[in-house]
Amino acid sequence: MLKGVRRLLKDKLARIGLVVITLFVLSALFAPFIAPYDPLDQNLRNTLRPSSASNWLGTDLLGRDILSRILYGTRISLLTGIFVVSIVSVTGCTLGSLAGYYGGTTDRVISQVTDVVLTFPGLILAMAIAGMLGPGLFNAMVALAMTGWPSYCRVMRGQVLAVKQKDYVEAARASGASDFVILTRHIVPNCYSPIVVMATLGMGGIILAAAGLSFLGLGAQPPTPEWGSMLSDARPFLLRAPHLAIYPGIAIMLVVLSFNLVGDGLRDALDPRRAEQRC
Amino acid sequence: MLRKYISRRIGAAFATVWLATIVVFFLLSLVPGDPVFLMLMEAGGLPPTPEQLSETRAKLGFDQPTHVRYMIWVRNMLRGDFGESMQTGLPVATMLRSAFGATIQLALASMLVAILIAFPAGILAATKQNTIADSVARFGSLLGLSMPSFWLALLFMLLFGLQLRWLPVFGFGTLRHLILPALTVGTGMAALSARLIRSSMLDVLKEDFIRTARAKGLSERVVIWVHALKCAMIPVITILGLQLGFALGGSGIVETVFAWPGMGRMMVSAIFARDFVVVQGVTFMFAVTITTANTLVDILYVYIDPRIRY
Repeated sequence: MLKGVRRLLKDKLARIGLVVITLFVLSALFAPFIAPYDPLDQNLRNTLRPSSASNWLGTDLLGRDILSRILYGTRISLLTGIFVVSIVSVTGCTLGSLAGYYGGTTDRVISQVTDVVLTFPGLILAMAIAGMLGPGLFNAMVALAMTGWPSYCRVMRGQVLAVKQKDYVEAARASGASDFVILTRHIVPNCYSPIVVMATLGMGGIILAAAGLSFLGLGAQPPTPEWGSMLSDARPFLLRAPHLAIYPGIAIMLVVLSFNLVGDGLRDALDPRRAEQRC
Repeated sequence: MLRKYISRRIGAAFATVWLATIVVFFLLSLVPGDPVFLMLMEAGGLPPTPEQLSETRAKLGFDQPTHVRYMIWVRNMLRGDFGESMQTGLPVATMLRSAFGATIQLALASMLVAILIAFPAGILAATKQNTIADSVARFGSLLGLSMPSFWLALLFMLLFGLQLRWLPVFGFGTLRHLILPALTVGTGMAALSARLIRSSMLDVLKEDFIRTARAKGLSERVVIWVHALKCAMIPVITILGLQLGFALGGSGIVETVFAWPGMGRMMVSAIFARDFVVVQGVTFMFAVTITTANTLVDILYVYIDPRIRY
C-alpha cells in the first residue's frame, strides 16, 4: 500500500490532481471564511455584471456573487460524491463478494439484477428514478445510489472468484474459519485495489452525474448554490452574460479531471505491470 | 455450434428485456402519493373530480391487483400499445417512433465525429508511446471525459452559434442543426474511444506477426496502417457498442440543451409534466435499444474475429 502511494506521488499528473482536490476540499471546509459574500445575498442593483474588483467572477441575474456561489457549491458536489460513492461501493462490493464467494443461485440472481440495471444507459435510469421521486438533491442522490452499484459488483465478483482459489483461503477454511471470517478477513482485504481505483474515478463520475441532474432541474433546487443548476440558470443569458456559463463549468471540470487523474495514476501505481504498458 | 450460440444469445436478450419491464413497471411505485391523481392534476391544472379519477384508474388498470395490472401492461406493450400521454393525448408509441429516429440520427452523427477524432489520436498515441504526443493524447482524453456535456454544449453554442454565428444554436431538421449536438456528444465519446483504441493497438504491436512484417523490411507506415490496424479493428465493434450506450445515456442532457426532439428530451419533459406513462415508455425503449445493440455486437464478433469459436 505504502509502495503504491509512493509510486502515485511520482506521477506528475496525479500529483497535480491531488493538489487541486485538496484545494477544493479546503474551500468546501472554509467556504464561509473565504467567500467574499453570502452565496444567497441578492443585490438587484448589481445584476449580470462581468468580473470586477468587487465581484471577481461577476454576478448573476439576482446580483449574487458567482465566486461565493462556486465556493459554496464545492460543498454540495463533494458531499454528494462522497455520500453516493460510499453507498454504491459498499453495496456493490457486498453483493459482488457474495456472488463470487457463494456462486450458484446467489451468483445467478445477483448477476442477473446487475445486468438489468446496466441495460439502462448512463443517466437514463437515474433520471427516471429521480423524476418519479420528484426533483430534489436528496432524491437525485438516492437515484444515483440506486443505479451506481453494478459496476462495483461486477469487478468485486471477479476479484473474489480469483482470490477464492488461493491456498491461504483454503488454509483458513481447513482451520475451521466461518464463511464470514474468510470473506471479511482473508478475501476482501486482498481485493481492494481495483475498487479503490474505481471509487476514485467514481467520485468524478458521480459529481458529473449529479451536476447533470441538477442542470436538468432534477437535483439541487434554487436558490441552492450548485454548479449544475448555476449553468442551467446561465442558459437564457449566454450572449449578455457569458461569464455565468463559463466559471461553474470550469469548477466542475477541474474537480472531475482531478479525480480522473488521481484514479488513472492509482491504477498504474497499484498495478506496476500495467504502468509499463500504460494501457 | 454457431447457430446454438446465436440463439442462446438472443434468448438471453429476451430475458433481459423481460426483467427490464419489471424495473420499469415498478418505477411507478416510487412516486410519492397517488400517481393517477398527480398525472390528472398536472395535465388538467385542477384537482380531478372523483369521476375522472376512477375513470382513469380503470383505464390504466389501477382498479386491478398489481400483478394483473402488470400482465395487462406487458400484453399491451407486446401489441405495440405503450399507453397514451396524459399531457398530449397522443399514443406513446407514436411519440416514441419519431423521437427514436431523432435520437438515432444524433447518435450516428456523434459516432462519426468520435471516430474521426479517436482513431488518429489513439493510433498516434500508441505508435509514439511514452512521447509528448502520447502524454498529450492521454491528458486530452481524460480532459474530454471530465468535461460536462451540458457545459461543452453551452460553450459550443456561445462560440459557434452566438459569437461567430456559423450555426443555429438549437432546433432540428437540417444538417446544420445536427452539427453542434453531434460535436458535443462526439467529443466525450472520442475521449472514451481513443483510450481503448490506443491500448488495443499497443497489444497488437507486440504480436509476432508485426515483428515478422518489420523483419520483411516493410515500411513502418505499411506495418502500422495495414498489418496492425486490421487486427486492432476487431475491438472497434465493442467500441461502437459502447459509443451507442454513451450517446443514449447522455441524450437526456444534450437533447434538452439543443431542443433536439429525441427520446432524451421526451423523457425530461415527461418527467416535469408528471406524465408517468410516457416516462415508463421511454425508459423501456432505452433498455430495448441497448439490449438489441449489445446482442448485435456479440453476434457480429463471432463473424468478424476468426479466433473466436463457439
